[in-house]
Amino acid sequence: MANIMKKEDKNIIKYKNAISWEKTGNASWAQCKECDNWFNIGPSILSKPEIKLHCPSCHKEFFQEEAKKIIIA
Amino acid sequence: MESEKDSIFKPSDEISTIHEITAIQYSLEKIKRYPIVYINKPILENNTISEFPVVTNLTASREIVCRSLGIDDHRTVSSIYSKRTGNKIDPKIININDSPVKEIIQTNNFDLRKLPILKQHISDPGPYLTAAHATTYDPETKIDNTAIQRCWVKSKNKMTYFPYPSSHNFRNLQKFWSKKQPCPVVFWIGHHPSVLLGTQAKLQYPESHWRACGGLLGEPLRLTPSHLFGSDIMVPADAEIVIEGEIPPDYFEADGPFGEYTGYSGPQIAAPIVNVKCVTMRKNPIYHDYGSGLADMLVPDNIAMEGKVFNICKQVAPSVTRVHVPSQGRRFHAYITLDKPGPGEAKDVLMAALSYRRIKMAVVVNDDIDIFDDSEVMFSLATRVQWSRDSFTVGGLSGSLLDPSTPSGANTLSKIGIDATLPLPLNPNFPSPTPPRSKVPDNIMKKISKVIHNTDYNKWPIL
Repeated sequence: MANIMKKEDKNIIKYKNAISWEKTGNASWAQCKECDNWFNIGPSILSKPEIKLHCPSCHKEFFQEEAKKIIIA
Repeated sequence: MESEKDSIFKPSDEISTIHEITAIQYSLEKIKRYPIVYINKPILENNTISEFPVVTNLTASREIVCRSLGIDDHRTVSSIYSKRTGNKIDPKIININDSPVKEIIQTNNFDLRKLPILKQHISDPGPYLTAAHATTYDPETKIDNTAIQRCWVKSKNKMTYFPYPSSHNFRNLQKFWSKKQPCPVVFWIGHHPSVLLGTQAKLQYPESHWRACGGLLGEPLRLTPSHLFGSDIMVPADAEIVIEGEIPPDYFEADGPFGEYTGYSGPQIAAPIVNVKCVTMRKNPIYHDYGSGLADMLVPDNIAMEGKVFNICKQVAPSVTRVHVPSQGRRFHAYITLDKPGPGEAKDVLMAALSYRRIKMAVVVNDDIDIFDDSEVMFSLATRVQWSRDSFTVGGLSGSLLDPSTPSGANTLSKIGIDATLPLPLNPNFPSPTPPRSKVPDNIMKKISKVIHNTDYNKWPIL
């Protein structure tokens, strides 16, 4: 996994564009700043950084920039 | 439900709305049994017992759904659904005082969290309305639209609402928002399965679903004005519960993740919210839940899809007889039977079926194949297909982006059509140019199957 990702920002990791005959996933993930839980997030919320993410596990609300990690597919 | 009393599972235990009711549905699917599930004493998140019972799995069985439509053989439903939703019947307006759903009207002292709303899957952030039929209207034509769309109940009077961006309700919402106005919306819960299926008829925009519901019911659907919006938004007078509110313009909150029809957890999204202002209900309402991603939710929608695919394909090929959108394929597969197709008809049908947004794989077979039996479809694929000759893929078609196999960033999908029909004889009176299927005489099969069925075979080993 590590060899197909590159570090872009402090807390953001993006998948590199894959070759067309290789399978890639489409799920992006956020890691909760409070409880470390990972949950999948879609393009509609990724494109609106002004909207707080909501951890479905501990219910902490936080901005993308506050997430422990964001992995973008 | 009275006529289906032998098909209802009513556990006497107190069952939690948090995962436990959904676990019953998963357990039933494992043993391939699909009764209606009625929970008399659902336990709420705060550990109190709800005053309202829950019914779920109401539509998990094709047989039960079709019996409710007056159809004896569920395998014939695609053509009947197509015909009945085409023979539309105007609704009938009922006085508010005569409308069961107006027996209780609460404009102040309501708390949505008192309803036994289920938290179904591990990754869901909270309780979701899954069988709420959202009705909005087009402010230009005043024509309404209804669709099942999920809502996460966040507090006593606020919930998120997810109208899929390609949905007709989303178009209505955008028209209100373009004028910086809140979008009026009502969510009604619980009705006869004919009405639930009528709301899933695939119609033009703008086109109300009420007349299609009437066509399926075989009589006018009884409607009454909503409490807040009057005749601008009508609601079914015989629904169990109605939730009314407004969607403030250009405001979004996080919604999800949510266990989707794909069988996977859909991502957290930015969703509009509803400020709930009124709840009306019957005196003793039953709360209806759909098990998301389970047969309960897939069967009614897939039956509506079968009607749509039948319609599309019949227009290009008169040989189409039946369509099955199997719940094992989520909403992505369609099996279609043809009766003596003419030259080229099989591929015409495949092209037509794949043009329907949701269908990702279409398979056509001859009508000796029972498309409601996966092993029969597999037999057909194994013995009647040469892949390079009989299958084709097309990229760049519209489809569901919730499909987990879609590449990241893609806006369209790749689809496949498979012609699993037999080759045509040189002359219609000649035998098929393929060997006949091995078969035991029908009368002998009938005689011997009685012997088997009179034996207790439940303990015998399975395949």
